[in-house]
Amino acid sequence: MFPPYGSYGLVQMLVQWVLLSLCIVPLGRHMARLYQDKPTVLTPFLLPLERRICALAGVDAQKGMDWKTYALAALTFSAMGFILLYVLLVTQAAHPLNPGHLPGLSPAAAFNVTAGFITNTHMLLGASPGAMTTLSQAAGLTVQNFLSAAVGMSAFAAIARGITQRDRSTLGNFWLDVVRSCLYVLLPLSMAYAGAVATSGIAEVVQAHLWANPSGNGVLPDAGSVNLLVTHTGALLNANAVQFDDTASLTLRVLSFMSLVLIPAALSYAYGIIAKDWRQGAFVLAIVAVLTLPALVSRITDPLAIFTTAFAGGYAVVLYGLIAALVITPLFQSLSRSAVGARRLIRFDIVMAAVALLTPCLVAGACVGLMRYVDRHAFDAAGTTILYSALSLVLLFGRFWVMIPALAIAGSLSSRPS
Amino acid sequence: MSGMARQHVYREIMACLRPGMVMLAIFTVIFGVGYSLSMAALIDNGFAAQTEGSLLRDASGRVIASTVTATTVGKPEYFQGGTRLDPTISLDAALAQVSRIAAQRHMSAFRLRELIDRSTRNSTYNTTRGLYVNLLELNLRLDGKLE
Repeated sequence: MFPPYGSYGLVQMLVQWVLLSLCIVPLGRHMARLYQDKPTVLTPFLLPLERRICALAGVDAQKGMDWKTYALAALTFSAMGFILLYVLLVTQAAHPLNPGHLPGLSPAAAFNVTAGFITNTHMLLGASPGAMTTLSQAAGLTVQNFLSAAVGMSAFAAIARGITQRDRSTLGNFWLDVVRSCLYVLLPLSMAYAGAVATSGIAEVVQAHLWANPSGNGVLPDAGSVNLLVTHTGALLNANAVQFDDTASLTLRVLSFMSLVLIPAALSYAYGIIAKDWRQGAFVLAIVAVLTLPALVSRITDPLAIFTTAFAGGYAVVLYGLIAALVITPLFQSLSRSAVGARRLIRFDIVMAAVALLTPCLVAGACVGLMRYVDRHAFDAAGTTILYSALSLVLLFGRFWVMIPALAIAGSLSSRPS
Repeated sequence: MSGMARQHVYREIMACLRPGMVMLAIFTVIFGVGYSLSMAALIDNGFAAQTEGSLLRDASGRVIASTVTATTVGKPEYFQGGTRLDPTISLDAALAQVSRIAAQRHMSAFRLRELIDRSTRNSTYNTTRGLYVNLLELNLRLDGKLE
């Protein structure tokens, strides 16, 4: 029924859905407290570090941002990360710790990989993992794994606050949100994830693959460096983790599922808490689930699966869900009283919502059509590069085209008292 | 966009540069260096049994084989079963082949069970899997290449 589940089938499905349900409650609660400036379980340990980082960066944690400032900060920070990673990849030949003397990536390949990581989709488009030096991986890819996730989560926090909170006229501080997302959520989660993945046999599978296909490095990376990537390790082998499904243990498959789905699902749950309305949280969660489903049930080579994996990985699905919830909420409220109260949507809001909601559909359709076309016609190397570049642009577009209108709506709502 | 608005946007972008660069630098250190190294250290040392076991080394430390790719398929004097990427068999499957191997190699069943015992593992998380035997390790031990 579901091809990627292979021999574990129903057991895997049961385990991962149960595990997910168990995890999103504490994580969602933690996130809701974090993004509403309330103390969390980790605050006593991390607050000094958070303050130190903000001080070094010249960030005034009390200073809120309106939506334009927030959006600009998010874009600028993403652009800076993009430039840094791009330069790192292109200059690989000059890296220290490069025993295999791997050359720099071509500009196109570097662009595609960078776009993949800046949008939090972890796709090594058109480049093989053997082409990455240790430095690229550690200082470049791993760092962007975290930061791009943090940017997505911060956007969510700002939008959630803008939609739900009446007593403040700003969306919060982007830099503070990024620091908090990294320290309080991503770092602890990744440490747990890396430990779990490392001990469940992934090292053996990856080492076997590398032994059979020696990378340009000339040395077999030890398991520690292999497991540095935060999300599904399939990305290391230039494929989704689904590739491992024929061979991976149950633990690995469940972990790779969680790595894709946990944060978006927990964010949806957190929204329900922030909005003080579980039905809205459930609605967002339902949208996220529906949009992520193709990624989970199709073979990874299916273009729709690729796109939805990317859409989900970029957390754009959550923002999408938020906007949809926002549009649907007046309907809810006309049926019963809700804690958020009635929100009048002006034409600006509607236009922004339409832009954000409809455009990704068009883009997804174009993307799927493009890839199905490619499947039927063999492409040479140049054609493939062009295709991957087009896909990279699609990924970038899909992320920011949803984020910015969503922030606009949040800003518009927060600047009007009722 | 009017001149003033453009200037405003320009100023906003400039205002992002310092926090942006500082954050990139700090998080590159935290995640790129700190996280990477500490995870590598933790995984290599704390979980060595799970992660190092797949590459076998001889007495001098030189890597002699990957345990995961078995090359003894089809030869009756070796233990059989398993696939390329999961070269393990259940303990029962290994024990069932003892008599055949003992006859082929003129080794005692007792000695074979000893070797099997050394190559047997338990699964870290999967409590229903039971004990399993790593095939290549076992076959290397048969050949005396691994102690």
